[in-house]
Amino acid sequence: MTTVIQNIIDALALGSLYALFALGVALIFGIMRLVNFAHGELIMVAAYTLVLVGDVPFVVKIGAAILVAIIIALIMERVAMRPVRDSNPTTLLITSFAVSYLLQNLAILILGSTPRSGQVSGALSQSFQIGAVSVSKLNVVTVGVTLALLAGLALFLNRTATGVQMRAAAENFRMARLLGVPANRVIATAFGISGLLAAIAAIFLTAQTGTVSPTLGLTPVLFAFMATVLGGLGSLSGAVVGGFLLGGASVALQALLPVGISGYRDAFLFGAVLLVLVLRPQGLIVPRTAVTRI
Amino acid sequence: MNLKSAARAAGPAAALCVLLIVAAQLASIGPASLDQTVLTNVVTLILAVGVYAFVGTSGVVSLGQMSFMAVGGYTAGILTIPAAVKPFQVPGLPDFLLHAEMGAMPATLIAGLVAAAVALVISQPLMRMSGLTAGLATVSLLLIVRVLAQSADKVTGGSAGLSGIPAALTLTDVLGWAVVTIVLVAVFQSTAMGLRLRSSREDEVAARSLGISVIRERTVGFVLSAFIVGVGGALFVQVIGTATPDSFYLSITFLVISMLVVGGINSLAGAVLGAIALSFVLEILRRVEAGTDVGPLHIPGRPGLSAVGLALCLLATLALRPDGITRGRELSMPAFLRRGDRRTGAPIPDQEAEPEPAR
Repeated sequence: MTTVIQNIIDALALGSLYALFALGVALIFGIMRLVNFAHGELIMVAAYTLVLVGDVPFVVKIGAAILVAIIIALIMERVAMRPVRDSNPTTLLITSFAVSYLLQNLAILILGSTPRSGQVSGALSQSFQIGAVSVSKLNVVTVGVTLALLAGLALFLNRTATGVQMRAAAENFRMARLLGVPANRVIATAFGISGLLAAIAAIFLTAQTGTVSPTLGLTPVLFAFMATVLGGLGSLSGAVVGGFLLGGASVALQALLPVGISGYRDAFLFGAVLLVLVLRPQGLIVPRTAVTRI
Repeated sequence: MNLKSAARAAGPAAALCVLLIVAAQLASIGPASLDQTVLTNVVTLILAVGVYAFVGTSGVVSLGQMSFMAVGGYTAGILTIPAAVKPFQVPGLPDFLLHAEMGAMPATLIAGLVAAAVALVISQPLMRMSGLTAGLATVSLLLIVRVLAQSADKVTGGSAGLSGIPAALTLTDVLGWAVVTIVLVAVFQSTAMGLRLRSSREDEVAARSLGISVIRERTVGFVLSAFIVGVGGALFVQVIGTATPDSFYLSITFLVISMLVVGGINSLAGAVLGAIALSFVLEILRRVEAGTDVGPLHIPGRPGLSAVGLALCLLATLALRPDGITRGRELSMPAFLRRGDRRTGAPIPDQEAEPEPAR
């Protein structure tokens, strides 16, 4: 019983992490039809900031990581994405792939390819003891912060002017511009928010693993893609659902697979996602805007 | 497929092959240390042509095509490693594979066919998805293959991979394969099947309305592409001598995609020209990365510089000339060689036929 509870908490924590990854990608995709490969590099940059900023109070570390991630996201948007904004999705995808590759190799060039280790916070690595179950504080904080962030994002998108403008832009960009929605500001806001999400995800990731490397962002962005595609490309709630499902399935597979083949867990996981996509090619949640109208 | 479509494809394909051979011969004038590089670059061109066969003809940006390079590479490696050393590297193989030892040509062919078979199986779920979703799903394919390669170490050698693959290929062998693949793709895209696939790239809804089964056409392109990429992977491991999971992952994917985009993603000529152009550019970048002397100045080497240069190249192309060098056009016969009306290319009716009596 205790292992089941442990696994459920692990699944929730991992699912939250994947949901954060996926949301950053889905947000930009919804507005620009751009699948942002470079989201992984935002996570990498934030993680490096956490490690390189040295011995400062926890709050300063977090603030620095968030600030750096948002700034890099805004620069990325201004320099790399804006010139190609009106191109077809293929060009957009390859542009983001190129930006991702560029940032990775810049990190290798400047910082070296050997991984570095760093500790985010001593307090987070401890655990609670509830009865027979030992719950790591990090897991609890991950789930809590993610839920709070999701609630905040939902509020932002539904109640604030900029949020409503973003949703309008996601539904029909051209029409929104005709109605006076400032395109540049909306897109920049979206990139800024995805930078924030990347930074928060980076904090939890670094707290979990304790190391950073230039290729840190690769796996998160792949999981983000899988979660987004599973949940339905273009749907924010789909991305969150996809992230949680992926996290849950990953922990379940880890627990259920016999020891010999548990190394293939990721292969099974992605195979399962492909299987779901056979049955439902458009993903689990299909927003109205994704249906091609002829 | 009929003679007409093959003939239509012959001119441009021949021109590209000649261009490739000339470029390769030019590049191999030099110290013998460059030979390995030239071989690798020609193999990368084969990979680019293979990826074009699907991505360029169907418009689905499949970033995971290099998973078939891995399949082809490991197959060829397993088949060509001498039977004496094989059990030490990959003890988990079934007996008939442990004792098998083939030459380069049959091993490469089998590698391509195995990759094509895998593609046929995996294409069933993939081709039903929309273009963007399918492209992203192939990334998962790349990851699955990588995880399998790393974890099944009794069969693939794990993270260390296979080594000691006999390097028996000469420039002629590799160029021969390159010519074969270029001709294959040129003929394919001129057949009715290829034309249907390319029409679905331009406007999927219109193509569907004409009765074109987009799923079937994409499957054909996918399998052909997997065959060529598998052949490329087999040649790659035989040129390099080793096969590791990392050599079939993101660097080679990025390089091949760059070649396609710089050349022009919608044409075969683009794939070939982009590959040749970027091979030369990359060589220059690699020299700078290793540290060079420009006159009295010594520029120290920094690892990672060539990758940054390549990425900047690609970004510049995307911003300034997104259609690439060829802008999606193929090489065509120059006007003075074309039969028929020189201006429009329309066939001139037979001069000696009786004019139609007026009715």
